[in-house]
Amino acid sequence: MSKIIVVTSGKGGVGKTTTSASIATGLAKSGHKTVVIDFDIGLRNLDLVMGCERRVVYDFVNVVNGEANLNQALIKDKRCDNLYILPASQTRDKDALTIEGVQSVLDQLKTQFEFILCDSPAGIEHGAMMALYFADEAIVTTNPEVSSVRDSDRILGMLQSRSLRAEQGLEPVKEHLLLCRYVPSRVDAGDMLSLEDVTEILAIPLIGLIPECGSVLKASNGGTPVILDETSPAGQAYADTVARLLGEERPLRFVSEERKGWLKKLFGG
Amino acid sequence: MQRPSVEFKGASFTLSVLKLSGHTLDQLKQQLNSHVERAPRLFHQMPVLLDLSALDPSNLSLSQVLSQVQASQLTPMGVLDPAAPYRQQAEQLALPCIRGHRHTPSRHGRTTVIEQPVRSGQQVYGKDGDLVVMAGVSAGAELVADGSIHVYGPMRGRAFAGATGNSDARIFCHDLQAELLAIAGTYHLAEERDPKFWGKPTMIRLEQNRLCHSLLRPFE
Repeated sequence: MSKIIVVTSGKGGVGKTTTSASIATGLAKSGHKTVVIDFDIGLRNLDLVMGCERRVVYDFVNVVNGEANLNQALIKDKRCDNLYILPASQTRDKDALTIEGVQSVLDQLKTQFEFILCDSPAGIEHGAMMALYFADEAIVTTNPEVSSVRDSDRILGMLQSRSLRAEQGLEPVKEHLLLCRYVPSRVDAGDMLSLEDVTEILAIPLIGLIPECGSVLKASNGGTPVILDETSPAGQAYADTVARLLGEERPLRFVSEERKGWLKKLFGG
Repeated sequence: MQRPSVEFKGASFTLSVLKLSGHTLDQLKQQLNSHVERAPRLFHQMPVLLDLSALDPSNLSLSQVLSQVQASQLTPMGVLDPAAPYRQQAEQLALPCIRGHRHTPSRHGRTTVIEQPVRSGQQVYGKDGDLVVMAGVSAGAELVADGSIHVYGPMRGRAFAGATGNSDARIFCHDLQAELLAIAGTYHLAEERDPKFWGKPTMIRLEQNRLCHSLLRPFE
């Protein structure tokens, strides 16, 4: 039984693509056959973050339009055997996706994959609706900032009212909160919303907390999902998130500022 | 912009209902006159709705009744819930048939209960009655009800109670953080609210065209 998970947020630039790439990679590394789809038609980014941009021949829209078959468009990841990427089209726009077209692609993917991750575009328009419509679960990516939280709240409303599960009165989409770019020192200083603030407003269960970390930018520019950087806090936090998604219990890390002992300060941590 | 030459506007008025009884035209005339004579100036050209439920259509026709009522200086505006023969006659005379409240099912008291959080951008309408939200209402969400509104989670959105003009409607918030509250069109922004109600269980009601806040548990 395969699961469709949408990574969504409402607001742009909060870490959807970074999250999609890392969680897909993490699930595949745990032995689950996974595909990650870039729904951001016209602003193709996922292939860059996954480091496979030079291997894109056919894309999602080609498959929807019947110009290529699915196996021609799927790109096999070089690092993980179980991981495939379905890239977006850079030359089309989001209206190229139709419910019927997306459904037929997802139906085909379901026969091959355990996890289907949908990397949603920002906004609440057609592209974002297409990405969330068929979802069984949703990872709502949020930054500790008021406008991001407000937009995530809006997307949660859409998941409850506009998804296939909502329209057919099935069990609702399972919602997970992922709080990204968290800086405990700025929370302590009162510049940033705290984890409690965000969970209180959104009132959905937390699946992970990703600290602000230089390794994310480096990983994106290098085309390597940050989860593969096992020494970095962000990489470790994504690994925890994937474990929780698979049902494991892990304590929450990086919630408060790590106190550096004088020895560590002296010799460099 | 050109002004429209025809405008339809909704308005509501109170009309008197004139209940008629009697078997003959003479009885009717007598009773009408004895009533009107008591306060002729009050009844002069008074618009009335005719309640014909006590009349027998086979004895008296609607046109006979109408001319008698008009002779008594009253102005019939329509017929209230007429029986079938009178309804047909009213239609021929182009006299409106008004449906009274007695026969419509009670419009108030229908309660809408929402168990899920109401998220930013969502609107919930409690038609013809109260709206009860068991979860939180996010900033940017809107609650509308013809009756009162009750919110048991944190209330951060907007609420419009008494949306069809019921000024007796009230708003009850378990945790008041609302952006905007309105009752029967009179509204109030968060900025104007006394900060002591912030986050508190609060009731809001309309009094002399102003929204009045009071704590629901003042002794705690």
